[in-house]
Amino acid sequence: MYQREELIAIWRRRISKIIISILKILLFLGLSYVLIRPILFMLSTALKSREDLIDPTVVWIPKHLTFENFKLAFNSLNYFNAFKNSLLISIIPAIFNVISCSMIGYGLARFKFREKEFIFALILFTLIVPPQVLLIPLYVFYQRFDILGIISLIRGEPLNLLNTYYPIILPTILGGGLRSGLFIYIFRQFFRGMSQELEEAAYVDGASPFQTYVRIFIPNSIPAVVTVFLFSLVWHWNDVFEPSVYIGDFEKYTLSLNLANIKAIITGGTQIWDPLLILPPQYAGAILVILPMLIFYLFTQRFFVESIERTGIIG
Amino acid sequence: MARKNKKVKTLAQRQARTGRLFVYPWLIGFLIFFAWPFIQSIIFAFSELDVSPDGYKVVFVGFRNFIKAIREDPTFIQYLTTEVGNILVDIPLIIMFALFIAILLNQKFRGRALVRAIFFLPVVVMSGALLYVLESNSLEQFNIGAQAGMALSNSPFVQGIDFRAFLIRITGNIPFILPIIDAIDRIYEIIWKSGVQILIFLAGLQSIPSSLYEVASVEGATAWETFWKVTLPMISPIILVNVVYTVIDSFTDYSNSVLRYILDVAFGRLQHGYSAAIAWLYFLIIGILLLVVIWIISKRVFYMNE
Repeated sequence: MYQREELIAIWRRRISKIIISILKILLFLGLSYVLIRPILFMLSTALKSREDLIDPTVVWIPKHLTFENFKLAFNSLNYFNAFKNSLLISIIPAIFNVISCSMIGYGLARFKFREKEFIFALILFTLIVPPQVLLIPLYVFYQRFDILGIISLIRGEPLNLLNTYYPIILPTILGGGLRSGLFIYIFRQFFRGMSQELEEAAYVDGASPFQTYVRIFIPNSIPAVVTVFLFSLVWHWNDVFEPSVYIGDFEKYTLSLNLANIKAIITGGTQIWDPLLILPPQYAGAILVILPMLIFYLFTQRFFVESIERTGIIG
Repeated sequence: MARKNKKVKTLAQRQARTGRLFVYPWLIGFLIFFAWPFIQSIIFAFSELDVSPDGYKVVFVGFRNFIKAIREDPTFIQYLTTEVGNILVDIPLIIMFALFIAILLNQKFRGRALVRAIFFLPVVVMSGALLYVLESNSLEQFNIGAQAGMALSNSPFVQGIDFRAFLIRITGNIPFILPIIDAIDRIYEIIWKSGVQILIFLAGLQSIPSSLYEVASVEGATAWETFWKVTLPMISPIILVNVVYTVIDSFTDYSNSVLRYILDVAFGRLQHGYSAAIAWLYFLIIGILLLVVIWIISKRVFYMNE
């Protein structure tokens, strides 16, 4: 049998444990509310009709459900077309990023050569330079796109790549582009952590380094591949900066670019406007833009979270 | 020399060659898409640029662009100081918040998967454009809502406006209370911006060997002591990574006013040389800031292997 004091100590510990876990649950509830609230708020506002917006008794659930705002946003965003464009500039770079960055990461992680550390330092340097610094030179470069005069030689004049998606896609083929340094870093860390024996076994069996990379390293680093693919996809999807620089044609605008300009599109550029008319469709537009990624995330989130944890991004 | 190598190649040499084969494509891309534009942008910053469909003309003007940015442009310095201030405030807040959340999420509890899914939502959903839509509206919306007493004053980002008045009234000490109010106003932004940082911290926490925690608990350390003596030193290199990431993240953020201003100068007003100059000024200031922060932190960073 327990002594009185022991029983008190046991109960005290138990109660403090319960209190701590209740506090933790409250904290998580509060923070989750903060995170989900903007999305729910946008959704509810977008579904409200005009009467509901001025009605103080309506807070979250609209009395007169309307899809007018969504229709307006859908048309203002030029949705189907912009969706196709967004898909184009996010999936293709994501695929190229996975291929090129994994190869570069493999080269940096698994081979020794003199300038390796220097190249890695350069890769990290590309990360901390804001893309705006390169804005104008790249703009004039893509306007008269030419490498060592080869294209002039064939076509007689340089290519104009502005208003196409090549400025966004081309750098990713060679392991450049939006935050590619980070992807190379992730792959390098991941490959460095893989066992030497696996690699040696492949070499003993007569595999070339490239075969080893394709057959051994890539299949064993699915978490890293998934992580890089997802990050690249999502960041390209959400990016406004690059498309806003290189794309001038409204037909070629992406969803996020349209979202950034949606107020001007709806008001037609006038300065005086009624916020009650503008805000709900604006929110509806925001919902429509994040919806594809949201659905995508719902299906992959388990994989996503687990993979990033196992990747161990850090050095 | 080269011919001699061809005859007899050691394993190390062959290894180096294959390694280079994998890495050099990046170098080509780097030279075309980074190094050359980088050098050009230095030249452009010191010149006036006239871009036309069949090429561009560069006229060297010396430091005029920089002088204009610092002395004459009324908006640039204002944008720059606000953004630098924003980053300076955001860095510690994001780091602290992300570390706190990562430690909580690293523990085992029921419903962890769900909570994690919610916390990483910003990683996927968060875009500059979205934040811009939300932020640019919340204030005007509040004013309009307050005037008309409409339900719209219920904005997506609740600002600490009522709370601010309350705090000032009870303390009467404005200079002291301002940073706190500012932090409260930023809470939404901070939470929304720290998704990736939480992920990076979580990955770091997972890599701390559990034996260290076992030793700590055998030695009778409290959770508080364990945090300061085990978790924090072990996680300190990752704090550095996160500081750098937070700064990088702000570069492509559409709600960053300096970056929007650079775009406007370049393509709205067509002053290409000037925009290169202000981009460089921004980069230099952020770079110096980053160096100082890294220098301060790296003195305290602890590496277990060394």
